Amino acid sequence: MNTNEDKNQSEEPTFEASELLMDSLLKNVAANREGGDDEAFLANVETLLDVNSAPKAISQPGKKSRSKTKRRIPVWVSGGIAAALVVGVSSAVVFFSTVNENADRMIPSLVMESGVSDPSAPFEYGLNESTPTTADQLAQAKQTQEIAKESKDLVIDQIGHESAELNSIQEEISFVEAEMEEARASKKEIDLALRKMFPDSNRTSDGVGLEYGVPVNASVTQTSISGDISIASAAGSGGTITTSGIESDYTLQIGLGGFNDEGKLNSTPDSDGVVKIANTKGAIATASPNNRTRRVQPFKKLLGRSKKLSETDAALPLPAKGPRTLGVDSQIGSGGQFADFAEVPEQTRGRSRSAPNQDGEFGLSRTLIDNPWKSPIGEPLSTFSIDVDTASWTNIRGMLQRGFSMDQIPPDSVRVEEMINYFDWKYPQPDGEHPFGFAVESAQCPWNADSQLLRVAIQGKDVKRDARPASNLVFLLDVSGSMNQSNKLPLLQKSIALMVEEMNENDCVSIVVYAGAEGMALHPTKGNEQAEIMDALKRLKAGGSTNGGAGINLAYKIASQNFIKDGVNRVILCTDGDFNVGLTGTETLTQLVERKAKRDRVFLSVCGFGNDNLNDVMLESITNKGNGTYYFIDTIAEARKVFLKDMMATLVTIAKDVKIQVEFNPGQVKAYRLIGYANRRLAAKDFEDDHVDAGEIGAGHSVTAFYEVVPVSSESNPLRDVTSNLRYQIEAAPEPAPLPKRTVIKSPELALLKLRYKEPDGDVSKLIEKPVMPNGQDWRKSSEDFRFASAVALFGMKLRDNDSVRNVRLPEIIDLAESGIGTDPHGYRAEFIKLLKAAK
Amino acid sequence: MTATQLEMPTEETETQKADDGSPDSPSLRLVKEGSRDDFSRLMREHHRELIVFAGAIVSDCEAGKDIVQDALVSAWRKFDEFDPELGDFGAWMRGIIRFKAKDFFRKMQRTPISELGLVEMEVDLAAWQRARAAGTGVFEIVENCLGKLPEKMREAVQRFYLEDRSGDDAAGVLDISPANLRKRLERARGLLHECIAGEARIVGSENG
Repeated sequence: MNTNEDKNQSEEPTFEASELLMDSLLKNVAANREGGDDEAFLANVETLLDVNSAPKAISQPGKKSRSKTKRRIPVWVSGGIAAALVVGVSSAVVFFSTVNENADRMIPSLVMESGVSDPSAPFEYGLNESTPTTADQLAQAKQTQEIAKESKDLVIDQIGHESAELNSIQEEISFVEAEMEEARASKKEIDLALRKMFPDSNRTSDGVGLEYGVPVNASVTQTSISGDISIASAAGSGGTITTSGIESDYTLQIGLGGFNDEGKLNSTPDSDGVVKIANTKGAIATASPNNRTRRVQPFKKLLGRSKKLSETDAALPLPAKGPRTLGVDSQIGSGGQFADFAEVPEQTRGRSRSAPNQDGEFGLSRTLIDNPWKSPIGEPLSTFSIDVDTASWTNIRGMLQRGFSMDQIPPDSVRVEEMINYFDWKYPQPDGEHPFGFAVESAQCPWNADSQLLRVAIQGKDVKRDARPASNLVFLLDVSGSMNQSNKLPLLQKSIALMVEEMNENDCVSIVVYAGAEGMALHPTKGNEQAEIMDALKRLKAGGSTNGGAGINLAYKIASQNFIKDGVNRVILCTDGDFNVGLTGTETLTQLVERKAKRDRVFLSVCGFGNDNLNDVMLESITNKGNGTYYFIDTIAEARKVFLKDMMATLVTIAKDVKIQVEFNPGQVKAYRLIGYANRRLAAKDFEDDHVDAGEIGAGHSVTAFYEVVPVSSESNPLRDVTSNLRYQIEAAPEPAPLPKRTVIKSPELALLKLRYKEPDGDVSKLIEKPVMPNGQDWRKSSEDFRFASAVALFGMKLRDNDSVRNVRLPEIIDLAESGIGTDPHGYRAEFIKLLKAAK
Repeated sequence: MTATQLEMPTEETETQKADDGSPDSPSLRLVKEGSRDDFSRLMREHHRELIVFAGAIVSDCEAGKDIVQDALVSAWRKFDEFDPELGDFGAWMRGIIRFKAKDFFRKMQRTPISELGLVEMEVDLAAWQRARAAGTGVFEIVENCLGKLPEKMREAVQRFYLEDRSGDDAAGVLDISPANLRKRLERARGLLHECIAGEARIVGSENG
């Protein structure tokens, strides 16, 4: 006979909830077939119910009344009691042992026999078979049993508690050992990497320390490390770190002294969790868990989570300019990862990019970093996933309408591609075998005469509304207390009503609500039963906190249960904010959404309402993985646009995992950069990897991307090394010329545009290619769409405080937008211009 | 639903109409009046699914049984507080079990199952409950679904679960590696879950 522990140990780690349930069910199948165990269990409970049917406090001389707090009674104990009751005067015995420490709370020793005790007997609760049995005596006997059981439980609790403590200590030991092992592995990886990169560095190791020096004469010495882990690094030509007598558990010392002769850090750390960092001036910043002078994570955390470390380090002093020497410094994680400060574009070093989260940590991982300039020789391929979201502009528009100045708009809320997507463009409809048409146009860049602006756009084919497939829509509605504002729940109700009016008998609509708890507000209902749906919508009321994590899962369940093959299966999340109860981590939610999209083919769309509590970044992030779209709704007019136009288009998905890759011709292009798509970048190799997710596109949707391109004929070079002619530094040694790996082929083409997509139900991508020819025409001669879109992109970059457009003034953007206003049937462009004119 | 003032039927209140624990049920009224026999009958109707539920939450069958036992005693003691308007007997018991499980995790210093996981289970249990109200218990359904499993998976389930062998032992009997056995069991559980959910839904919907 095996224990359940065996099975649990072997299976539990990979179990999901449904698996746990099946596991438990299967473990009970055999018992159910046999039935015996089942009856024993029920008999035990029946006995307990008998005992508990008339609980009364017992008052005994010399003893305090016992609390009636119920304690768990192990099955075997209750079984013994049951046996005692059944056999009557037989000799069934239950024996409880003594626990001296609790003598005042427990019965010292108790032997329970059938019958009633002699009052003078040493054990006043004992039962003696020679004594006549009466109803009162039986009642007393039952009370006695109860006390006995409680006493037993106290003992069991005590043992359990001590056992749990012991387990806890053992777990702690295991944890520390695992951490040590991880640290050793990290050290090995880091050492290997550093030795490979900097063979001339000097390192001395003693104990479990990590030390490395970065280039030339760097020297690091550690001695007498008695704690768990210590890391020391010296960076730069004069960097030196010497430590001794380290007694701390966690120590991190980093010298970035490579820029002057003062870069030395000599110290003797003597307390836990010390982090010392010398910056370029040789100044030392110290941080520890108890006395933080900077936002530095306790080192223990840093080791455990390399990602956190990279977030933290961004808050540390950066070199004034991109280091000439490699900035291999403080990016250390359990995986031994490194990051180079030089990789961080200049424009990210300005004002704070994101507010601290609820833990007081700065979420740099959420920070959008603009795409830097790149050379087509070194990096000829630019790859990104499409994005058809529009929420960013609606959000920004709301802020501008509320009187925010441009400086007050958080840069992270500005996603240039979403701003452009918001507007309608007159791109040609596709006419070939593919569901896309290209709309490529280029002209002189309106804000930089030395460069050209290349617009790469794709247009999804339109599908007639009545030809759309059947839809299984589960609205997941946030009805938490914060939704109780006119621009939230009431607007949400009206918005959904708009969409429901378009539904028919082939569609299925369900409503799941979430707040303090989740629940069904409308069971799956046919789309033509509009009265029922509208009724459910009207009944919605707001109140409670937000338990989005539970709600989203219920919504997916409902969507899966009503799955329509060859139809649209989508959860539409409508919320004003964060998921502040339950699944709080964006990453956890994102994984859930991604898994549901991949495995169950149920996609997610998000509609944000209100603007005071909106977790814009998270909502955008989860739709990225959910093959979904993210909209922001602040007015009924916007609701009409989203629910009647954009969302209906989304319901007819014409392609998924749409990726774009542009190969630039070094013979024509000196440098290029992608505008926007900061969090949509893909690695070049991901383009052909069908396992890598990307965005989906609905019928009639269009996607627009701009590249700023510097032609080879231009004298401008944004990639110029501004540190090539320094007064105080010279190159340490001339680097040998790299061997040419590729030869540039002469071609008049500017670039090759490539697009990969999958059919909505397909798993294999298809490829479309289109060469792009250079066109340096005056931007004033470009199309109206081109001019207006470039104005939107320019305004977006301005809001993001992008270096390259810092000198562009608002009136110039307005002029550019006005030149491209065109017919503007919905007034969206006029509204944009109006807001720009009012912007401060 | 504590703070949400929703005035609409929940999944449970829909199902309770067909369940013996519904407010209209004469048996429940008797129970409310203190009838032990009827409480016992309700307990006997629900206890198997409750044991499965509790065992799943704490990943331990025996601990699950203890929790159910404990929860039943609590339920009996606090039966005056039970409001059938808020849900049927099974749903009420599951609420108590969830509470007991929290205590269990705290005592054992184990990480509790996520709220998300509990919700997933509740959705499954609600479907089982509807099927039971229609006259088919989950153990009947699982027997049927076991018969539909591919032979290799069925054999793995037989050796590991039904014959109560250890992983290594079952793998030895099947002449496969323990890792292979784990994979088969994982797939079998997945298929069974889908099959049971589907059949429960069909049976439940047949009941109206």
